Amino acid sequence: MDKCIGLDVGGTFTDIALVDGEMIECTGKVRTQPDDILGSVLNALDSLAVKDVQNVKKITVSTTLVTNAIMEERLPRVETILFPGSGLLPESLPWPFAFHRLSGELDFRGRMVRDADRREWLALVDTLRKLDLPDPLLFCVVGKFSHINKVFEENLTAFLREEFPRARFALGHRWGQINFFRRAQTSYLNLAASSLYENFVRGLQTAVRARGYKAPVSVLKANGGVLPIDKASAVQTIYSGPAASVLGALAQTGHRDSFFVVDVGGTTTDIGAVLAGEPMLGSLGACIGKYKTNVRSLAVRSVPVGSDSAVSAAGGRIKLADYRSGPAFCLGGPALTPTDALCYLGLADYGNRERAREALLAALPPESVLPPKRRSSKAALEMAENAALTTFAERIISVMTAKISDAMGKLRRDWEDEPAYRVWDVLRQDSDRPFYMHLSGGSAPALATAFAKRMPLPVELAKHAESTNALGTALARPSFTSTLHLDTREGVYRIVETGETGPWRGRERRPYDEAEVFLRGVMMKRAREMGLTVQEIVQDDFSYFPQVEDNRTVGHIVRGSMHLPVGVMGKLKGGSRNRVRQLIVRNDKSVWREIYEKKGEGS
Amino acid sequence: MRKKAKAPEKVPDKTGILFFPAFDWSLGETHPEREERLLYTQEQMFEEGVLDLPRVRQFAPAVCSLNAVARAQAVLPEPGVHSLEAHLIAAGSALVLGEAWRRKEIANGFALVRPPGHHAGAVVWGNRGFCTLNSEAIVANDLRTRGVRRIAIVDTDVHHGDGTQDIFYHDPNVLFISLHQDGRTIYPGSGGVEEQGGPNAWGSCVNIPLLPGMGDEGFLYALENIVLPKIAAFEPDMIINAAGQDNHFTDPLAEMNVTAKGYGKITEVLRPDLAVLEGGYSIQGALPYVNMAIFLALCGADYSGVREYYAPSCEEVKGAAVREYFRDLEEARKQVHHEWQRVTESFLPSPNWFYREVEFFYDTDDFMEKRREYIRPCRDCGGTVLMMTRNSMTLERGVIVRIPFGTCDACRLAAERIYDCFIDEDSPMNRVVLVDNGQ
Repeated sequence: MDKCIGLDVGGTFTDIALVDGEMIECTGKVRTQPDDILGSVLNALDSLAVKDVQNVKKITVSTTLVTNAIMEERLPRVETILFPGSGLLPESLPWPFAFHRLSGELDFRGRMVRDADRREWLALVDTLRKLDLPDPLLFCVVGKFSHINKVFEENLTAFLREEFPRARFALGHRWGQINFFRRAQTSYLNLAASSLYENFVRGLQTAVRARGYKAPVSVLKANGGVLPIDKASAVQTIYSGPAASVLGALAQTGHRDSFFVVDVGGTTTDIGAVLAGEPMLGSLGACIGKYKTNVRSLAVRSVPVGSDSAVSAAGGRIKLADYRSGPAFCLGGPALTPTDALCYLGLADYGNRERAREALLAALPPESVLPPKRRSSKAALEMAENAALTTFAERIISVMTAKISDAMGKLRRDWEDEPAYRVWDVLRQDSDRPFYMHLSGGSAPALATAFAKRMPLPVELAKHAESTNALGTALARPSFTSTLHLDTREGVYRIVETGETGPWRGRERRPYDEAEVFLRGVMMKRAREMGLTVQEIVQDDFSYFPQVEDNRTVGHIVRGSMHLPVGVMGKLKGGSRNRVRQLIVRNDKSVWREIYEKKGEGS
Repeated sequence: MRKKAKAPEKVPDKTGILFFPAFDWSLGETHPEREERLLYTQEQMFEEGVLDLPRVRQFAPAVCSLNAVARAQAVLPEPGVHSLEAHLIAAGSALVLGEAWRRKEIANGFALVRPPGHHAGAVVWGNRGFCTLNSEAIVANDLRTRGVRRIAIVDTDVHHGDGTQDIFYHDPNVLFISLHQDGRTIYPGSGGVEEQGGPNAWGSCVNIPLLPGMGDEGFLYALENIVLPKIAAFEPDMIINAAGQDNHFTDPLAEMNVTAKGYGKITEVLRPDLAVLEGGYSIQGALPYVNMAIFLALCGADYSGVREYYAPSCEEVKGAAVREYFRDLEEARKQVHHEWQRVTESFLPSPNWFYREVEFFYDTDDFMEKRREYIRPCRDCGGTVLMMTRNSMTLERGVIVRIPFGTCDACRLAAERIYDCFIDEDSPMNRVVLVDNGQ
């Protein structure tokens, strides 16, 4: 197999891995510079010092670039123009941005109920000209039911282009999924983040070429698939970090396993789920900050808790902040973190234990140290102090694992609440799979026993806990979905993901095989356009709805989809698979010791 | 000792939705109850983004247990001979929301499910009026085993909810109110004012037949002047709305004139805790809009923007005609007096039980169910009921003995003695069912 590089830009570290087939050649880690993501990527790349750059066949990046820009609200202003039609009044929904509103109405089959009003368009231009507008002007134009009929969006865009020739436009129907509210927000975010993303792509491609690499650069998407970096859209790259964690876990586990992925980072912990070897997808689109999108993403949760979270213990209540003040105190940082607690308990094989003790002692509520008897020795005082510190450290870890396990529980409940729309889907559900927890991240080995103590399910430590994300990114497979909406009566088809529409030339009634062959063709064409080689197209279930007029079937509505499955190119060799089986409490009640059950490889 | 302050009761603020369109199930390719029925409703509601309303929580469908079914309906000769999957999911889904309501996870909910259920009665020999299992009745009786005592079911489908009426006819703790197009002009034909409940439950069944052509005005008039006062007097713990949508002016199977906004208003006035979709076969002209209006009204959101693609074309009966019609109707209701027949039979443990005969037509498979009912006169509970039913096509027979909710000891004893009497009988055609809701 070919050599692949995976790069994962996390909040604290940027991880990199070079994989040759199923063997890990080397891994590395550099600190992420939040203001310079491109610089962080290149630093990581340089740290690897790859000699035979020619042999690298693929470079894949997962980056928080767009996620951070959205979360930190560093996006330029976008003028949003809606055609909300009738029905639910837009004021009823929690829009995260202001919008202009025009008349013009379509119904659920895209039929025009009320035409647009050109006088309103002229008035809109007057309003816009009075505003202090940035250059280039960004317009997001979205109509209710525009995914079926894009007439208002296209007409208005043509009109505005005349008035503002330098403006950039985002049209809602390009994000063809149903849901006007989310389509508008997805278009908005994608347009707002597009120049940031494009600059990053250009910079990265140039720098990679300058280093002699010939390999194409790909990006990991929220749904766990990769696309050539210049073919992906900005907004598709949100949540690629958690997706990398899930894929990394997938590369280190059995083929049909079901498990929760828990990846503990410095400031956040990502949680995902894998069902019988397939990563679980969220049924609705990803939510990010105050925005709700229709970007398909893996079902993941990010909990703002990590091994570097700042710890406070005011009034005896232990709190983990959702930010990081710096590295752990025991590693020379400024403040107390869960890492210090791990270090003090002897669970971590890094850090200065004396400094860990110092940090814990400073934060320890004084009343929690039992006052020693009068005239007791200094040694007795220290013993009392140590006992209190141990309890304190254990409580810190327990608060941390509690937060993470709560989020896991919520993810599981959400999964059980997934809607189903067909009899077959309801009847096939089985929720009795044996799940385990797959733990990764730099502090995973130290945390494993704490989790095993709390969790009702087996805990398994990743073979390559520290570089899971970079490995997942390196091994991620290209993936995309095409969903066909076909109305043979109207004689039109639509591909939801691309907004492509066209005339249907097939049969009007019972177009069963034809529709499937047609969609397969669409898949192949899209793969060619993106320069992907197709290994396996998976056909999802097709639904056929007979349309009836005067007691006669006059046509069919067809809905079906196919996808290149999300997954990894191979299962990693090497490393040992550890299941934390048993806890033994040592006599001094302070340090847990674990027995690892070594599982045979290649089984 | 200081008294511990009582924790304030949790007031839920969510509206639950359970959307189960059964996209792979139909009663026939061109049947009104076909895959396509909720397709456009899905297009409309999902495109509008109603699932993103902050108040909304979506639930997953579930399969109803046969035990829960048995509390309301006897499926004969046995459940296995019917194809129940889709019906069990529709009922199970309504149950999911009912249970969420009981646990105060939601303030109210809408089970937007297929297939419907309100024509399915106490005995199920097959499918009638597109219905096999009665979702509202199953939910009601299931929740009554878990602390909900009195339930009002208001059926706003254009067809008389004869199945629900049948199930609760002898039950004084369930108020059943049906508003429907006059049975003399539409399926199933029943639902006159004279049907007011069994001898131990007289007044717990209220039928409000409507003149064909009535619309929002007539419907709301009946709701405000007849339905709401009856509900207020009954003091239910829970109101379930069998939310059929075929009173809409575009419905192909009925002649009423209600609009989508009218349905919104009906929901707003009735304030049901749980609404369950029943009929409604104008799948493009009505359902997308009516479902929107009902759901928005449940959410407390503004439904004034919901507007049909087509405008009403026939004339609405309104004004003085409406008021006069309902005045006469209520006068007629007061005049009804029922003389119950009394019988003494060898299999009854005591003499002089109430007796009545009923028939149900199963239109889907074209046969009749003939049934004899014996009701124990009782002042302490709803009274034990014995049903002897026969399928006129297969000539199969069944015996159902029902112990009511909150049974008195005498009724329980009577039921057990009847059951013993029939279970000994040596007839292979007989199926003997004891429904014990008394525990």
